[in-house]
Amino acid sequence: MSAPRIAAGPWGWMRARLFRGPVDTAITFACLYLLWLAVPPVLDWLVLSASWVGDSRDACTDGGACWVFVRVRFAQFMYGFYPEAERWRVNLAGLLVAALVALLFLPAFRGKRAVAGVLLAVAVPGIVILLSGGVLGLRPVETRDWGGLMVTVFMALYGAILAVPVSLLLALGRQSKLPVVRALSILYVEFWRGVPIIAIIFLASNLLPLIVPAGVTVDKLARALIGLALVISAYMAEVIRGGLLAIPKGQYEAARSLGLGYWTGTRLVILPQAIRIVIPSLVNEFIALFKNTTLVLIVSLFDLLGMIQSALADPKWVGLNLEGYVFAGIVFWIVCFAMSRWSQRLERRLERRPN
Amino acid sequence: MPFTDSILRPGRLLHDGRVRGWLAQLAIALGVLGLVWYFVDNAGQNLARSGVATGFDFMGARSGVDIDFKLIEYGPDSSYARLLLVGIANTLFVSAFGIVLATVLGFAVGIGRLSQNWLLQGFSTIYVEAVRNVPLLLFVLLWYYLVIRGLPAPRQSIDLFGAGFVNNRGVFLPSPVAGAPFYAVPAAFAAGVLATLVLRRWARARQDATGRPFPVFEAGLALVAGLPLLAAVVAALATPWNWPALRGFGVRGGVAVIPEFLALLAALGTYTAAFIAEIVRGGILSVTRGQREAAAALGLSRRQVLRLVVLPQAMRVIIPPLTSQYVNLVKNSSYAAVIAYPEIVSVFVGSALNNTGRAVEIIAITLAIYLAINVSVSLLMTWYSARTATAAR
Amino acid sequence: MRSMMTKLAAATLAALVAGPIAGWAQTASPGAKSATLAQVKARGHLECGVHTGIPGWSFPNDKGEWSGLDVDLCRSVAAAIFGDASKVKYTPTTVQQRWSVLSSGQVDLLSRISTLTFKRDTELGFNFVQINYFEGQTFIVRKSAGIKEPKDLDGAAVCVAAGSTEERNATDWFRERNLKINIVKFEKNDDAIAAYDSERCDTYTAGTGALAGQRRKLKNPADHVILAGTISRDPQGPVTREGDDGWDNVIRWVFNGTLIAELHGVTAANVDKMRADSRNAEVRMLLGADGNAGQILGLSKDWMFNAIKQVGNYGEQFERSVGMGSDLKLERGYNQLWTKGGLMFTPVLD
Repeated sequence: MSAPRIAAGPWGWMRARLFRGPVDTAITFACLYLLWLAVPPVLDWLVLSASWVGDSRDACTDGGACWVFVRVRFAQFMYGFYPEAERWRVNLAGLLVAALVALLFLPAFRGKRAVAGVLLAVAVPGIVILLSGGVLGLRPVETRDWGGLMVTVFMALYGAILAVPVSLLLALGRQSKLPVVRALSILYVEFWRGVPIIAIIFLASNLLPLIVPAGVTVDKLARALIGLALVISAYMAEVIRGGLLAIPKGQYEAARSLGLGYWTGTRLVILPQAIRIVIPSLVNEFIALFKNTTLVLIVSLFDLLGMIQSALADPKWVGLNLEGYVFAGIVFWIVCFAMSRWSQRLERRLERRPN
Repeated sequence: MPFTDSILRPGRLLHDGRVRGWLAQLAIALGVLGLVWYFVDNAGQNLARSGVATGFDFMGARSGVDIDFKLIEYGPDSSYARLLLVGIANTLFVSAFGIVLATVLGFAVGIGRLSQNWLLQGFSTIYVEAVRNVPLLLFVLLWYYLVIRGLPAPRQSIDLFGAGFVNNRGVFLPSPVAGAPFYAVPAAFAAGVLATLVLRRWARARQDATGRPFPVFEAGLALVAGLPLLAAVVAALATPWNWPALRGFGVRGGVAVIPEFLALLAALGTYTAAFIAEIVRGGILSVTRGQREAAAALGLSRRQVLRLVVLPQAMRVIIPPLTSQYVNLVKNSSYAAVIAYPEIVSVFVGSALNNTGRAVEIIAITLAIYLAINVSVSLLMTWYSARTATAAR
Repeated sequence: MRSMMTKLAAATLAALVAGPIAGWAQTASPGAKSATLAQVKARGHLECGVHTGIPGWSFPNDKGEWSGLDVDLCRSVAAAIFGDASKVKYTPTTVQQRWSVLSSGQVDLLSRISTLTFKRDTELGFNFVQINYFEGQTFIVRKSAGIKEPKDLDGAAVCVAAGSTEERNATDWFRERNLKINIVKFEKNDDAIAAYDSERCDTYTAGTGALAGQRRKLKNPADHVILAGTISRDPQGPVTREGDDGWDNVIRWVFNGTLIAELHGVTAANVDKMRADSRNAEVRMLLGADGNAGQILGLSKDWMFNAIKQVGNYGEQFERSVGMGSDLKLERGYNQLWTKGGLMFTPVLD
């Protein structure tokens, strides 16, 4: 056996990473062939032969993507049928969300937690009021006029906001020493985790109106939101329980020996540690929720994908499915990829920090 | 005993942790029961007022709907109960194939992500990141669009060397006139598994006695895959076939695999594979470098290291999340409701609910079926982890 | 005995928990003639369930404004109640959703080309107030396929919306004739028509009226032809929940009013003049010049005057939405007044 040849530079790199042996070389050529097959036609369709300007389908040429469709309908894909004059409210709500997210990324400063808390306390009810209006001189805009990306983001955010407290209680309940509480928590979590989300959205839209007293109607959007929150709370509860399990027993004992009761100890000692551990996984659950909001289109709610589908049913734009799907895919991909990167960063930061 | 203590001094009763615990539980139980009662009561009143017929009697009634893809005998004269069975069979059918596809692809991509080859690693990474961050619904729609548009119209069918056709109505294959000989295939599979187990015992005994190893893995693979294949070939030769032929609007005769099935299978398989790939990668990375080096130091070859040292340890990490991916895949097969694959949700919550109007009953049955599937998998998992726990000593 | 005890215990429990919640959720005031009408008036707009979108029947433009024959019925009712045809809000519903949306009270009225069937009228708990469109079911095929009548479709793949009457009709019709078709069913009509357009199916089936509208969603409508023969009868009309006769009366007579107006030549353009000058007793009653028909229904004197002025009579609505004045170019056919050979035989306003 000869001594390994140590080679540097691009040639050496290629030798090590592309042409290590006959099998490796074959794989490399196979990959190159695939690239050759896939890249030119995709690039051609997406960019080179695509049509970008115009205001109807006639402006589009064959063989390339018709981005005119997306451009003309862009506002609708973002806001749905939200009245044009009121769209600043959606933008403002978006800014509020962006400010909160930005705050998360800012380095720690004195009172950051307080600022975030106040902002959150203002934004959570504030955004709902801002979007639906009817008070403070804001023109009321019903949820049936909401649509597009705005609905997708709204459903995901408020689904999570509804789900987090429930899931906290469920996670604690599942660890509880009280058998009734434990059994109920297990029942809840396993039930909602065991059934498909599509079935739950059907359930929420068909059965929710049935179980409220006559004369009370639950908003269509709210129904789907409740359905999503029920499911996601069960998944989040399992994630948080994982965090609780990871807390060493000594922490529980220490809290008790300090004379802290169950709730005080949980709040001050256990939860802060557990939550910190599970934040990356919670972000992943949020990504899943964000993707799953697309399912609301089966009950005729118009999220981003639903809006695109309804635009595709317009005789003016019929048949441009691929453009619509690719556009939706790109939007979802950007948002979800950014979030998953963020969650990975959090995870690495957690690993570095000694416990 | 503190409990008797507090009974003796009733004033302290409320300060006793145990008593307080029971009181809290009682309150919670009553609250939950009351809430459930309230909902049920409302539903009863609302249903009574609206004059909608209720009850499960519809299950025996004639459904009047037809299904174009069925694994069991079914026609418009069959009952709703039968329709449900068709849906369940179709759900399990697409899930089984989906699981195989997702596992093969997922392991390939997961191992590819750890490859030394820069291009392969890049491809695998792009695949995982591209797929994971897109909603499954979009994926299903996209695949359906591609399958329907990608396959030719019936008149331009692709001929499968005279054995069948592929067009946008599906894949048409010859079907055996009599199915009975094919029961030999699962029997042969079972025999193969059994033979492999016996072989493994013998090989271990021999290796313990003489030190000579025996390639159990290869031989087992040959037995498990080869025997059923052989049985299939024999059965195929033993029975007459019904050949598909292009006629009229499409293809007559033979068995048809509808494009909705292909699209759903492709979507579920490729989507779940991205998640499985991450699980596999994590599993392999969880086996420490020292394990590999130790194995190599013992003189094991690279393949032996992978098979005898790395994979067995990695599998213990991989299997639990892998199972939950399988369960997800079964649940996700309900996305078929947006394309026209007739699985549980699509035929039952779709056709049956709309024809009978029994929303409560139909949704309850649907949820119960999925829960039953889920519970069986959980039980299987509990059994598995109990087994591996003892194996871990 | 035991079940009595359980019931008693549960009822006590429910009263404890649910009492306060149920307290603020009161139903509409019982004094009104029609609870639904009272609710609608208090709400200030009509809630109408419509199809998610078929051109000519109910279709939102790119600003979300609805139009079509089904929509016009909603607008007529709104005009009769509020004197303002725009006081309607629309809930788009799929084939699957329409019944639960109506029975759960999310809409007051379902105006969504739904066929009157025995089961829907009885077991599902609905009332089909009046038939506003008579038609039969047929097929759309590619011209290149050379199909002349439904019978030629033996062996064809048929795209259809799951759970619709179309699905069952097609299944039964071909079975009866010992012909075979492959039903490919979709959750939504739009998905079914799109699948037909991408050649997944040889045909798409629906009522003649809906087909004329859906045809416009095809990439090249001119390449397709709608077969002349029909395989079913589909009387379609507005649907309400059972149990509110007063509300049914409002819907029924607003629709009848649009027919009576057409019969006597009352149009949106001449309605002012007709109210002032007409000497026809029925017209005078309809437009509120005489009598108190509106008040009897719980509406204003001007109920039909407003409806005709703002939305037009049935003939005008038909021509504008689906008839020769529209892209659908449907013949009046069965839906012509009986005086001109159709089935629209108008009840009498007295």
